[in-house]
Amino acid sequence: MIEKRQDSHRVTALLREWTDGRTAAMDELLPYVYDELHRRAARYLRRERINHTLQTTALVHEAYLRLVDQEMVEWKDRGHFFAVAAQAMRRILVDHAKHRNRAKRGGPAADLQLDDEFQVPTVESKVDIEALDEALSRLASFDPHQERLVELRYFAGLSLEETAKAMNISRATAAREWQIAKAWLHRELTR
Amino acid sequence: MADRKSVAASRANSLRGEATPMNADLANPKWKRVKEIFHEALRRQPPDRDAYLDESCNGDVGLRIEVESLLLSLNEAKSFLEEPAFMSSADRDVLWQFENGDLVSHYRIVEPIGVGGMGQVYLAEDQKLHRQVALKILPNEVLENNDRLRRFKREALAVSALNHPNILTVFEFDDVDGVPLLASEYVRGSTLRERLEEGPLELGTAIDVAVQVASALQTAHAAGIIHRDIKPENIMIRDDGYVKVLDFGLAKLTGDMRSLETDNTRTQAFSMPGIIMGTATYMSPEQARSRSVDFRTDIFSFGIVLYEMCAGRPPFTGETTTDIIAEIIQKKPSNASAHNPAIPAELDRIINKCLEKECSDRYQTAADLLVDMKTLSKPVEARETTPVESQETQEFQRTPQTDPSQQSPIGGYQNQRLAAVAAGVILILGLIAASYWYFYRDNQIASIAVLPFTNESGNADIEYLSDGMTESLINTLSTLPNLSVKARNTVFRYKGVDNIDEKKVAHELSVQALLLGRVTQRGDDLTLHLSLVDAANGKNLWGEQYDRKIQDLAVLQREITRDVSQKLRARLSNADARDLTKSYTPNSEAYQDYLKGRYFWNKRTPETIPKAIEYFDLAIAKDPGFALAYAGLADSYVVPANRMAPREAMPKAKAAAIRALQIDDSLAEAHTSLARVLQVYEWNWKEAEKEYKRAIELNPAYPVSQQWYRGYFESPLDEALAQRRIAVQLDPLSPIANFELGRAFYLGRQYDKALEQLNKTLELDPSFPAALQYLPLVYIQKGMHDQAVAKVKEVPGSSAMVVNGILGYVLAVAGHEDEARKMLAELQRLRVREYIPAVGIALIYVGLGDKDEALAWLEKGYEERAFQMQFLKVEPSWDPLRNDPRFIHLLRRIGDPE
Repeated sequence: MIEKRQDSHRVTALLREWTDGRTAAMDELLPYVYDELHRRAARYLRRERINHTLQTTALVHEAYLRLVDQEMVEWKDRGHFFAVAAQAMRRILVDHAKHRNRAKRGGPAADLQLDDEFQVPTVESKVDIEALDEALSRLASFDPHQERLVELRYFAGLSLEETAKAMNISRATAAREWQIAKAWLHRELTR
Repeated sequence: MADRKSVAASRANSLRGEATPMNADLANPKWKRVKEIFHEALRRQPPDRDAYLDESCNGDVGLRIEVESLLLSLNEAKSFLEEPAFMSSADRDVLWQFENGDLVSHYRIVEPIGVGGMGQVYLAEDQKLHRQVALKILPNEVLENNDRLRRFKREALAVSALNHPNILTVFEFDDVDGVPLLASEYVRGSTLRERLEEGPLELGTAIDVAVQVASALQTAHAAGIIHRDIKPENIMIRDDGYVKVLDFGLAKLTGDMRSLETDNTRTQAFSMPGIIMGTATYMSPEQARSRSVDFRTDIFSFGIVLYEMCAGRPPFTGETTTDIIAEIIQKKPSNASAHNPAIPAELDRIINKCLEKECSDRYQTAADLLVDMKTLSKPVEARETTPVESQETQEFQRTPQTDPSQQSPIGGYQNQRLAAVAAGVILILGLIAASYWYFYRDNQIASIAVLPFTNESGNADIEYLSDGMTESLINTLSTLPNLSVKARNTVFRYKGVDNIDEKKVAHELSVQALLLGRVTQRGDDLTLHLSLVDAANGKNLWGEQYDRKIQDLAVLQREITRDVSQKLRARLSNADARDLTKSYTPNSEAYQDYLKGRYFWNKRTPETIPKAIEYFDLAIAKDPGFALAYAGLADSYVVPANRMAPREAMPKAKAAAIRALQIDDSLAEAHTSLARVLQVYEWNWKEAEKEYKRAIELNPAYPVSQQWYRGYFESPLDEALAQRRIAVQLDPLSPIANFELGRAFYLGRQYDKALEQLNKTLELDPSFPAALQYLPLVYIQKGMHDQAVAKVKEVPGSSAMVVNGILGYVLAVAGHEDEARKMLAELQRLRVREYIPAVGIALIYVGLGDKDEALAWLEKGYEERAFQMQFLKVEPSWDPLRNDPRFIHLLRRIGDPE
């Protein structure tokens, strides 16, 4: 419990610093969020499959509630948090995919913590996460906003409304941006 | 912790450094232009779109190709990225913790079944008991809080011990090396969620499922357990239509775990979109507000599930949790019938009553809800077959429960139906309904006799069935408040009587109504016809025919109990809600064996008691969780008719009684059995009294406890006598009760009254062994030795008379010393190979005037803890010994056995 409180204190402070303009705070924040989400993701996989979208959202929201002192932050901070969480989720899933692909190719399993909990996956997923990750990084090179949008929508599982709020843009803008991001990424991946 | 963080940090940083070099072809300004054209193009239909592209790209072929390819790609993308990465990449992989063949504790994993209620579920085989179980692996966080864990264990096992057919049986909760396991009954079927995904349920099916869920809730609530998470995922529909409610109490365990993490930020949690989604849909307003909840939260969630089953969609919806919660707290849902016109108005009413925002406006108990659901299920089922008849049934069932000042709540449905029937029928139905209602309003049935169901098969082999069903019904109805139910022995006097004059019988029994039943069995088919008759005018108030398979006997018993109590309008109050319809075993064969056991037990002869034991043992073998069967077994060991030595029989009786109570502490029968052991064997008077009191509190009409309570050692004679009068009032035609009163008069030295009462007993049952034994004793005390001798010789072959020493005693006192000594020799000889109570031998010595021998044998009686020792203090036959210090010392030791 004490450790959790300390985490929460630190995360909240970093979030404030980042919102106040110290961008390096974000990098310091990421490990905390990564760690929390990583733990939660493994647990979530054991839960019932009611609504996939909502479960992913819940995952991120719960990490937020757990890590951030609600009384100390504002909406803007929350948006920042989601951005970090989305990045962390991306990292977690890419690591997972890399490990899985390596295992499939018969190579030695990477010593990655997440995969210890994920066990050996067998079924092909619809999206090649590794390829998507690379494509997304290319997209980010000329449109970082789109990268954030995709992270929030796809990796953090936020709805369009939530994404719009977190990015401080209108829903209509978010919807438009989402369409072209999808189109671009899909083209990259099917090339 | 620090290590993990640094690893995570380095990985996170590497992500940022991995970015590919900038794509020179698509510099920012150009990309901006691509986006603009792309969005504008999307707003146009294809013919206009081409023109727009021609115009806007203005000969820039690269730009045109870029936009066109993106448009084409979007067209193909459709669901691409629409499902969050986490689920598409991870969930599909089915990350099972265990593999087939793994051994977890003593469970061998057979195969994964699914993911549900906070954990993965496997089909596994219990290596110890060789049965299949559903093994749920819970997140190990549940082990963090010991108090919650203990409470959950207690609740899960308690609710499971109720043995309700609609509640999933939990076998074990354990943790193996930090992995919490929940082993439960394995159910073949699908969850209600899965069924709903296949499409809407038939209305009849929906109601059937709802009735079973309500029944489970009723039982759990009566046991003090709230589910807290009623939703389609927690309701299994077995392939044969049986419904099982899963995970009682689990929500509390895991829910607390979750709320622990959010701590004091719970309110914020609920204002956050998406959080704890999935369960929000089925939350009650008080749950949504994080207020404390009681049983009525389950009623609300039940209402949502019922609504969804009938309407094909839940009543409160929204894109985010906040929206859903706002609806749950504020919005009055549209009637379910707005989505499905087949829904009758009455069902709308029931659903709306469940969905009241204020818990005080909802059904206050699941029992009330169940009554309405049951009432509803009839016309809906019948409607599909015979509309006119169903109308009639419906009138009958609804009217007494409907406030006549209001329009019938099922008005719309009724009117539809009524339009279809002739006006004359309406008039007749109206009259019937009115008279029915009148009857109930002004003459609420306060007393009833259930006459022994007649066995119409002509097959004596199934007599246990007709008798047993009658007795079970009497026992459960007896627990209803404000209803006097005539006891078994009183009504069994009418067994086998042809052409019963119902009015006369009702008068004799002074009851307002009679319940008659006829049972027929052909092969596997069992038919029971029940009718409820008004004693005042002989009119049939209600009738129902049940056609079932013999395998469904246990369910049938529950159904008839439910239906009859419902017809009697016996609503249980919130406080003393006791589950009438609780089924003691889901296993019909076990139930049949139990009924057979009771059939033989009731005869209470040395020939039938071993058979009773055999059947109770069989029942237990088939269902080791069948509490009543243990109580029956205890009762078989407790009665002296078993002819067993107390030191052999009584410990068995006690063990069985305790086992019964472990399974179901609310069984009056089991408390009574235990009390009897404590009383007549352990001479633990205080504890015995406690148990009797508890039994009587649980079911004041259970005649056995009333007959045994307040024995002659622990209670003053006048109290013992008064108690036996009560027992007779409760069960006036019972030979046992009447005999007990006769013995009380004898022990109280009121010999004329004793004679009268014993003779009365023999009128009820001319061969009642105990009454025959006491008659000569009374005559001896009256000094009428010849009559006494005549009485003992009237019944030659009575082994009880011999083994209890009564024959020898009477002969001795009457001066037939030689014959008496022959009896002594005979008993000594018999004692070598069977249990002959030492007290009987002592009695003969007293008759012969041999005090030393008498006292020596009484001492042996003390050692063997003989049944008759309980009367020592007051039994007139021992008067010659009363002043002897050895006798006084003996009495003192029994009174204070430790």
